[in-house]
Amino acid sequence: MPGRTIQRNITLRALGSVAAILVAAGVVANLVITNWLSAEFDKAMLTKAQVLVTLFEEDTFGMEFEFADEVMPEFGRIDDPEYFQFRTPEGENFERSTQLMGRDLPFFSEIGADVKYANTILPDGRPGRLLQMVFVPQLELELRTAERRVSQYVMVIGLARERVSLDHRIFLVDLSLIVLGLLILISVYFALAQVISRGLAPLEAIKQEVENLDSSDMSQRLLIGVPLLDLEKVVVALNDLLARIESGFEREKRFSVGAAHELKTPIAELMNMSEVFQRWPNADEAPQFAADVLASAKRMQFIVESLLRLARGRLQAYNPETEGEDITLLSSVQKAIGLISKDAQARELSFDITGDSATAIFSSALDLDLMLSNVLGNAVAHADRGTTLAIVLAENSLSITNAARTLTEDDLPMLFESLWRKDEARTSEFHVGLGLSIVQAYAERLGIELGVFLQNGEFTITFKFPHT
Amino acid sequence: MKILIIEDSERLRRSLVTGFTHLGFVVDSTGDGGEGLRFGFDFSYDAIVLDLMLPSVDGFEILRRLRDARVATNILILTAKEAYEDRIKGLNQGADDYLCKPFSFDELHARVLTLIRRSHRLQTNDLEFGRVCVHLDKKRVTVDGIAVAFTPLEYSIVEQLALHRGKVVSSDTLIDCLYDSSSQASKNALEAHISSARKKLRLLGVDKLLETQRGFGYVIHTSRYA
Repeated sequence: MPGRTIQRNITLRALGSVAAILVAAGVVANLVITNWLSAEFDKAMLTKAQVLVTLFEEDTFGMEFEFADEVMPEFGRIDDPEYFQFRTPEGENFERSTQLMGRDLPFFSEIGADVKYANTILPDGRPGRLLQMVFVPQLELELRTAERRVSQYVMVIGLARERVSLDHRIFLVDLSLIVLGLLILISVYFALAQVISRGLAPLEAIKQEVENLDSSDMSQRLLIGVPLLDLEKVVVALNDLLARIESGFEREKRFSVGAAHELKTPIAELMNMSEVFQRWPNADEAPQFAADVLASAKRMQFIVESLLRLARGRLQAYNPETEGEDITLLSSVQKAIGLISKDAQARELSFDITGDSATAIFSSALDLDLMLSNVLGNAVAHADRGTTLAIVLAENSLSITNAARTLTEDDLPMLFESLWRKDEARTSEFHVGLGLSIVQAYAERLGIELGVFLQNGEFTITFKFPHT
Repeated sequence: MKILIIEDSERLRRSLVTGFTHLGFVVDSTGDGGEGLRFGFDFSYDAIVLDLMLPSVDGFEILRRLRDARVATNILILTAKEAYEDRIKGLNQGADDYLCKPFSFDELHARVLTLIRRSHRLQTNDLEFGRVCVHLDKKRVTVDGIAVAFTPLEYSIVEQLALHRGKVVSSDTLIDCLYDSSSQASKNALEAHISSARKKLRLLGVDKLLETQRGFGYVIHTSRYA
């Protein structure tokens, strides 16, 4: 089965519509023409009947029909004759044409004022048309008195002729309409094909451009060759998609480069320390060597675990039935503070927790602990020394504020970027710039809305938990 | 030979200092970009091993400022950034070589040696002066194939004069090359080491290799060994 194309679809649908219109028009035209032809045919018969009626007279001797075959030879000829018959209203024959040869034409016994027409089979077996008309014969001049007019006789004329010629004409009209319809359809088909092909040329051009896009150059965009409004929107939308793909790709590239960089340094440390110690073993330096190797290995472990946590947060869907539980926010916050209390003490930082201590949510306790320890760990590492971290608990929400004089508005959009750090030198042992991106990944996982803002040198991060 | 290592990872820096010191290099080191830049301006080195991601002043900025100031010291970039754009940027800004982490220490040593050799227009690691050969990679001097029992400092003096063969090297320059920036040494100490080196060479029948240009410094004349 051939594949469907826009051109094929439009052409078939358009042809279908045109065909339907042509059929309807043809039927109507056929009806109109047939009726007109039939009406003219009947009219001609009526005229002829009226002529014959004028030859019928009532005189003092009775009814008289003065007719000669020579006057209207169609009634006298042997080939293709026409027939007439005069009768009384009761159907008794008065006068018939020669070629009837004593046979009667069909008779409508219900006599009325209107002329009756009917298709019939002629006495010679041909299909024919019959006319039956009631008339009042002319009165001879001398008999035209008032009393006589009142009691005039009524007669009935029957006229019959072949209808093969009419049928033939109707057939020719039908044939012509059909042939014309087919010709129109064929012409429309080819015209449509041309028009659609030209109309779709810009789309074909776009398709070519898309095929020619170099996958190694993410900055490429489609050009709008022909300024068609509809296609312009498509090209704009495609370019927008390309821009988003490029942005996503760049982000992933930065993440990969960043992750590689973070891992390469501890690997380089381990390799070099081992190489140097192996080449120049020194018992005095052994404890330092061992300590350095352990520290490098721990840093690698920390980086790998952080990357794995981030991957889990991004890829694994949250299942509230197996992971969710009722959590008191205060206890989670206190637990997280417990984990970083030593670092906080070293930097002379304190904590101030206010708000509704009974606030509870339904979520994953493990993930919440991870998020809070990352956020608070980050806050402790970067808050100005000797300041207070303010934690506010409210219904379905939590906010953490710390002094951050070095942070700027331009930094805010970057905070959740993986491996981004304010200090780009990345010298910190257990801060690789993944903390807040882990928080964001898990917040999205749990349906928590995160917000950040900077005001008067203070940085605040807010959590809005979903209603359960 | 004297080198400067600017690397913010303390463990790696310590390991590199240990390794190069064992190889007979005089090593200055720092983990801070700003301090590294000051070292680069204030002291003369045979090579600088430079990390790119540094606190206060990053490696690219250090490179740019040194080259803008016409400091011609060999600079080898040592970094985890291996994207070709970074390599091209580093080389275009004046770096002489680029080594990506993780790396082999032996490779780093070989590349540093190559840079130093190239800057002294040497084809190999062996410098010959008649019967005397200074092996730059093995850090030893031989006379007719027999190794001279130089101390590391004595070897470094011979090495510096060999590298600057035909040119007079002042005492101050020699002291600068022989000691790290935290050390203090006197001309008398230098003279003592040179005298000891000469004595060891004379024992093997080599006289007048290390010549004194009174008031100027010391020299190995290449015209004698053409």
